[in-house]
Amino acid sequence: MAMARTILGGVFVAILFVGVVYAVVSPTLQPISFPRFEIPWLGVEGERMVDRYSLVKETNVSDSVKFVDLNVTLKFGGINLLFSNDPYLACDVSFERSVNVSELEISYDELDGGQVLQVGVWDEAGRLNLTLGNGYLYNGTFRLRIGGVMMTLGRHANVSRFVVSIKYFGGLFLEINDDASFEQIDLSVDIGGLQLVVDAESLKDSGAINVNVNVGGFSMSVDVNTSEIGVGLDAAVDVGGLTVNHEDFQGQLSQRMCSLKTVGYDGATNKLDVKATIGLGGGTLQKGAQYGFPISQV
Amino acid sequence: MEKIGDEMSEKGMSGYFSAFLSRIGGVFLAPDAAFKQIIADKVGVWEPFLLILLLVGIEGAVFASFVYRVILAIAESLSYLTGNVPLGLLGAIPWIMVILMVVVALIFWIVVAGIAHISAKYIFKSEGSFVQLLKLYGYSLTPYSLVILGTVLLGISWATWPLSMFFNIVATFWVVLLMAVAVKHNYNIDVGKAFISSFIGPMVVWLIIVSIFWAWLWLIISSFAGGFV
Repeated sequence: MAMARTILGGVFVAILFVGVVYAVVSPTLQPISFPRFEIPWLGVEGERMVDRYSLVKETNVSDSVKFVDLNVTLKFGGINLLFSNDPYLACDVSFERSVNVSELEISYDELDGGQVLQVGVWDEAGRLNLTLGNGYLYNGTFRLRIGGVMMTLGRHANVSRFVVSIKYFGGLFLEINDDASFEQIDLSVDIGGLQLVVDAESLKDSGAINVNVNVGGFSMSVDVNTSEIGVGLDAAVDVGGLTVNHEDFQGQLSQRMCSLKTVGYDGATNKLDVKATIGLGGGTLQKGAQYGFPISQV
Repeated sequence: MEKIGDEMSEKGMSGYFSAFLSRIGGVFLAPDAAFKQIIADKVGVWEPFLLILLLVGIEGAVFASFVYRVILAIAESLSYLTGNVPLGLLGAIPWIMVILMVVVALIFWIVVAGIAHISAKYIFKSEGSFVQLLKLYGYSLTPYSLVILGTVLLGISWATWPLSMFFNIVATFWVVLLMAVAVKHNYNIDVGKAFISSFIGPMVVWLIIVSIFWAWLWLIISSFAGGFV
């Protein structure tokens, strides 16, 4: 009986020992795995690829082409647009995407007797880099549902009209640099932020920028030679406020509306008129860029 | 002298461990005799205290290891969105679980013994030591080892759930029975009164607490409806 009790006590200790061993080794020897949660259109690091297309004069673009009409649609992701000092380049497209996302759909056609090159770009998700040349006059419509758009217009930019819209939410950044040439740029974001930076000594032509933000913020930074560039800002905020912190501007300013012009606006060589409409949110005007914009290089 | 002293202590330790195994086995095989022997041997309160700590701690560790595996699996599953971020506070959840289980078990040990003591001493007018009852209650928890075995089996394979459930039910009934035997020996009362003190008493207290809680909840809810409903 005594032996039986000792043996049973030993069994008890053995069960405790088994419990300890199991608790220690089970995370290593018996790991649990759940299905990997993935969003196909976002892609995975290391499983990405890049589609590249180039439309170049005398290669796949006729000599007669004078205008380029871009029609870009992307559901999710980013669009990065800049101009290069290449008179032969009509459009260079680099599209980084997940392997799970379909290949970039790109179409191009020459219209109006070969004067207009119409380019269509479409895909679900990814990072689109557009490089345009300085030998054509550009029109463009850029549609994005969710994501960011970044555009830099410098001395090589030659734009008739750009329409950029973020349908749902995201961020939009436009920088105007020295000697940029554009007639009209329409920017709209439903929910998100919009940043406009004008950092130029001069512009080639006068231009207009229309801004519309439904919910979010609009930040405008202006650092210009006011005798060369006269900048005007007409802004209205439905619910929210405006903050102006710029000595070069004068005019009317209330909490939710402003009509401001730079000193010497009327006598400036070229004009840049900005009209901003903000629904729920705020607008700021200052000399230096307030916030850094996240830039990722492909 | 030092060598003799070491041998003595080794013999003492092995003898103590053998007696401990015998006590544990005795609780399983012949609880009446085992409890009488424990009372006669004047075993300290530390042994049953450590016994509860081991039983509940190990059960908690087995359960926590499962939770840890689930957390790791979720983290791996979501790594696409979150990146390979360290678990951080989530990694502490298993430890918190073990500590909580041990603390709750120790509180439960004292409260249940306290209720049984009050019941046996003041309702059934018998004499007995509360600390002695704590010791016997500690040993009464030995069938809880079957719960550990059941959890390990369940962890190895879900197919063993009927066996695991069986072990849990057996362990529960066994622990209740042993508690009644413990009260019987500690207060020298018949097994019926011991059962009332050890099981019915704590159950009644539990029901009263639950009833008060529900009544309080009902008062709060009815106050939102504009008074008594």
